[in-house]
Amino acid sequence: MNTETGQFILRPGDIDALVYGASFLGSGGGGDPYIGRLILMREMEAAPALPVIDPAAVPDDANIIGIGAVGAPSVLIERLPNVDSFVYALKRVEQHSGKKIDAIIPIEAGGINATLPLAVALRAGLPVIDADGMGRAFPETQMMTFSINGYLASPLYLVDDHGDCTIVETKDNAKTDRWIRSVIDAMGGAAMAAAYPLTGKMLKAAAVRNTISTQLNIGRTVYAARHKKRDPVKALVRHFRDHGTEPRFAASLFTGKVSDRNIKIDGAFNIGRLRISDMRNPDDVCRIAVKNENLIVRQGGKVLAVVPDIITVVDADSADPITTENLKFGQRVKVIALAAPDVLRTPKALAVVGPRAFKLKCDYTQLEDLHDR
Amino acid sequence: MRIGVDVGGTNTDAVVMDGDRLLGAAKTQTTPRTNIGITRSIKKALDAAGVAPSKIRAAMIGTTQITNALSERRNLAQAAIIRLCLPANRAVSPMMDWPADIAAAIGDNIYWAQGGAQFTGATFSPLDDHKILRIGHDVNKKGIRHIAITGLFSPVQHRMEKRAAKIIRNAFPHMGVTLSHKVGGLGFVERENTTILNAALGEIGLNIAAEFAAALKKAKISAPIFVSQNDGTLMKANFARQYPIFMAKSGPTNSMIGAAHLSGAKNAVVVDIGGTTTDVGALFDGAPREKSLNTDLCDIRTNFHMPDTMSIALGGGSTIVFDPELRIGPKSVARDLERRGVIFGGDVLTATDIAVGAGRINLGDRSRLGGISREKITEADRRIHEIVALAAEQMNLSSTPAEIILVGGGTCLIGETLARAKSVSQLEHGNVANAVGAAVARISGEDSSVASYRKTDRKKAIKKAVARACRRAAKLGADPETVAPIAVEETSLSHQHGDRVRIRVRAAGRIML
Repeated sequence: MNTETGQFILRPGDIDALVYGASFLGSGGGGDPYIGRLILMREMEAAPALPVIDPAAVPDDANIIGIGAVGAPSVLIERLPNVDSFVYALKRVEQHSGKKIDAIIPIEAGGINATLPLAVALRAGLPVIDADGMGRAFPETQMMTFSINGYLASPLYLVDDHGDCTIVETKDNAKTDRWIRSVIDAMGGAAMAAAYPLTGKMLKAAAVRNTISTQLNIGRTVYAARHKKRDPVKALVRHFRDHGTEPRFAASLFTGKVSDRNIKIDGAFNIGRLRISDMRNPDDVCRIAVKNENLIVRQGGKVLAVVPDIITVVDADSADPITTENLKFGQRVKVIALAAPDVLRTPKALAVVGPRAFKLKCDYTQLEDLHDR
Repeated sequence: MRIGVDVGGTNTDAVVMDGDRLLGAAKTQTTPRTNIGITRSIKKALDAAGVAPSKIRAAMIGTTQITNALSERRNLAQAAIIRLCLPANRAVSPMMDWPADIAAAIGDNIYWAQGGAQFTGATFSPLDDHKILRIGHDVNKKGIRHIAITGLFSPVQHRMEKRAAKIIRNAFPHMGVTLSHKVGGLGFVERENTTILNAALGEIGLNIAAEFAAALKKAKISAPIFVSQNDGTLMKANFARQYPIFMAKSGPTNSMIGAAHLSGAKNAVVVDIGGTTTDVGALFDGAPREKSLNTDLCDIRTNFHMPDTMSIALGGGSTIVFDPELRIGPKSVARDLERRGVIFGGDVLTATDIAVGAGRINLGDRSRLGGISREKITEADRRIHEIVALAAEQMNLSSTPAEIILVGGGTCLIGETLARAKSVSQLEHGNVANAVGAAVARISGEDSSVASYRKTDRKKAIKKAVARACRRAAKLGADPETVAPIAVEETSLSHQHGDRVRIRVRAAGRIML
């Protein structure tokens, strides 16, 4: 693949907007993007230009690999993801397959795993594809569009800081997920992963497209609004609805104060509920159910938004997205929803990432059908 | 009996307390060498209380000097930064996103070494004693006297940090060493940031401790000295000397604890109005509400406990401008109020002038305000109330209107009502709430451990951790009878359901006298 086909070049000045967008698409999960930002900053100091390629321009026979950190968020904030180990994983992938990797794709678009693959691409001297496998963040690996499309995560490489490696090779992604969870403890609670070997053809069939440019657009819209002293949330909603060829419905759902936060850690998951109360009328409340990510928003008996549509809680003043673990009692927040990419809204996808897959007792209704347009 | 002191940027306050009763209070100006002002304030408070220095059994001191040194980048020391984590954590270097002026003051003295633990406490990579000694030599050769050591997973297993410190101290006994497990929990970058800041504050820490000791000696008090920390509890002066970072942001916490004590309120919003700024915080179950996971100190990410307060640029000395539109602050005449305020014959219109003009307090010469129209004074007075009401509303936890308690030297700016407030109260001795807060604060101890709930029953594991934290608090000077846990946190470390969990417990109790 020729890097000349790169759709655009990502530069150090883009990092803040990108990280904002990744936090927004994290939908409350995906981990604190702070560390990812630092790692990307450092790689950009050495290599200040990253080619980002439009998936449409990728040749069918190109070899692409997914990159992301795996592990408990509380381990990843202490033993930080290691770019060298990712690069080693890429080398093992090439040795094993006998094929040269042409580009990297992030496994998800939200949180720390949205920025890590870009740092890895910079170090490895590879371009990154403007796409990912979730279009947001989800709590489980089989919730990727690649998996929904029937592609295997195997062979999956897990590398630790010492450059030691576990290779998982199965014919079933759910089994791969279980095996990862048992080996990850022995590897120190987290590891750097390369998975989902894809061809350009597979990529075009299954990936959520243009997620890096979406992240950038989200961030740039908010920064521009802040600069002009305009309401960033209003600016974002308008940006999505008016967005050129691919408008997406978005809505500001509720503004209030976090009046109850009942979220428990259960294994690798944050599970529970949030209640947000209107500032002036405390009886007017909205409730959000959480499994790492925000799953459903209800006000009274009415559903305002439901997974896989993206539900993000932002600080009422700064409009900074707040991850579930950072939300606190008494915080003044706004709840924003954004229509999920179309690939997550097919019947096949909804069976894996729709409300029923999260044991919610309702069917999926598109965000735009829940609100006046 | 005990004495509480608050060393502020403008004033040094002291109170003498017997149990819960305030016997005497004093307010004096802060002096450049703080010990002079502290002694003066203590003597005045003792006189007011009619208490002899020999009756004082403990002295509790809070100071804003650390906060001020950081925000003004004053007197920061060069420090060496040692990481015990190789081959991990190479992807992020120390102080990467720090304000450039603070990072420059600390200097580029970064050393990487093997070491650290796994989340289980097992060795991650072994410590190289010779390498540590070589680093020590290099640091010493550079003339640097403060070292920050951060080891991988040291909140779980701190053995290597301690061994590295021992190697360095044996060879260079004058070296100040900050160990990261003493200043923070999991979160390598945040904990390292706190560790580095502490090392950079090393000289100021020594100086503050020396000033306190000198002041008490001159006041003829031989009682042990305790120092207020950011979470509203007390530490021994000797610990404060080594860990000055814990003194940061203790002022707003103390004023909240003082307000809770003086008012008896359990849940309220406390508004501390000073000369230049107003700090607003919230009491929850009688204690200051803490900030969530990560808190920024001068735009540097840290992970220690700080009160959830907001600071607004409004105080008794805030300047008022009407041209073309009403503007309040952020400039302030601060301690020059009694020279520059209009009612005192000066030419700067201040918030205090407005309070006098609005008839809220009788001060100075009100007739000097003749040139300012009634409408303008009313407009400014209303705006001041709006600013405070909005800040109070933002800090209000509950969905019902809050009880608001006003403390500090500038309470005269505010009347008896505020929008959306249940009540507004001023307290007797509210102007020395900080010193009261220091005097009544509890002594705390912390315990951090990792348990496997597969091997140990969860309840038993927590009970054991609570017992260890309580013993720690008692060891530091708390009365074992009164020690109780103030926070229990569980953090899952594993992908596996219900397996390894980090348990962090903080316990606090009243000082044993």
